[in-house]
Amino acid sequence: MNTKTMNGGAHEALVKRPPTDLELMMFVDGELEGERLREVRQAILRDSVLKSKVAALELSSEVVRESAEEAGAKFDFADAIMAKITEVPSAELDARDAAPEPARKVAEVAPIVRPGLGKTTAHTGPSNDNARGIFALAAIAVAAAAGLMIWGRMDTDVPRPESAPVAMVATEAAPVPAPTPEEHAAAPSADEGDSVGVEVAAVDFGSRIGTIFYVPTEAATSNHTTTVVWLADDPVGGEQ
Amino acid sequence: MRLPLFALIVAAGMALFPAASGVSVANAQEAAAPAKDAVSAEFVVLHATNDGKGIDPKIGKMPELGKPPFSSYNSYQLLDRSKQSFSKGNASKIKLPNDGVLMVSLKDVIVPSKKDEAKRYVISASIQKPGGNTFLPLLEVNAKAGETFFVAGQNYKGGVLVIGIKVNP
Repeated sequence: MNTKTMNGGAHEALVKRPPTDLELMMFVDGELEGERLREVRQAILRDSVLKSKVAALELSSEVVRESAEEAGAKFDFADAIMAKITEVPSAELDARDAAPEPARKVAEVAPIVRPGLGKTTAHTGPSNDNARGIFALAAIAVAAAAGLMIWGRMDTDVPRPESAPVAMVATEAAPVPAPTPEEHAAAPSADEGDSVGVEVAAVDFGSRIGTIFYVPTEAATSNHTTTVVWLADDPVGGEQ
Repeated sequence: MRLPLFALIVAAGMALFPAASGVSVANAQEAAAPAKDAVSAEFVVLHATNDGKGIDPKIGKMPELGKPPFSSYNSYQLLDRSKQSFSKGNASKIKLPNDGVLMVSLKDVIVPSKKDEAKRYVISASIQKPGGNTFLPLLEVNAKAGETFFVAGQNYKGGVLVIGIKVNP
């Protein structure tokens, strides 16, 4: 009983509390709900002052709504903002911004037909100039390789006497070519009278390093030389 | 008269074109005098060092020793001097101070086309070191009488051996 009494007292206090202006506005706007909506409605019905306030609020609300709807129909926020921006002078804007934007032309890819082939190929502009350079370098390299190959074949085609091994010859004063024995046997040199000394016909140093010297023996005006074959006693790659 | 004239023509042709005749002058001379295909040579064995003793007076006149490559050594001592004869197919062997062996043989004799020129001797030489190792496998030279050639480089007692071969007239 005690609890019921307390609840009943609170309920009466809430009903007796007159609605505020905010609650009246919320009532007009339809924002009140539940028990408080019913209480406020009863209070308005009982009190003529409240009723007149509600009528005034409804009228003003209707006027505001109608004027807002009229203005909203004509008003565009985006246009208004852009117009406001253009009205404000900016230091960052310059002549380039004011200049008209050049017309951009989209590249046009059109197939072309090569005469005689009857095939459609993509048109290649001057953008492949690098490829031309690469082709030129490749052509030069191929020509150089061919030249080297021909030169090498010419070198190997020269007949060499088998009885004359290759010798490292160091000529100190008067170099004398080493003729082959076949040359001597078949056709003796016509200038034997001008001989400058001992001629090396053939030499095989084996695994050693050897040098042939032609040392002048007489006066500087004479061409006569002494032939010296000098070998290193240490063979290449160690003692055999 | 016809036969002597024909003989003269043939003889002149053979003289002018010896190769065409199939018989070289040298071969003809070899056939006529095979005993002449022998040569005598003088061998000198020198020891080149840098001990500052100078050139041995017993070596004799040899101005080459003061010139490169001989001048890389300041002392030359005569170790051996000998004379050997050799002919085709008959090699001459000279024992060296390091117990190596120098073998020299005559390979050919080249007779000059002109009478006032000297013959040339094709001489082959090789050097075997002790133990069977080859120091110089082959050297073939073409020398006239009186000319000298050297073979050098073998290590010996702090220096090198220098072998001189002079073809005698």
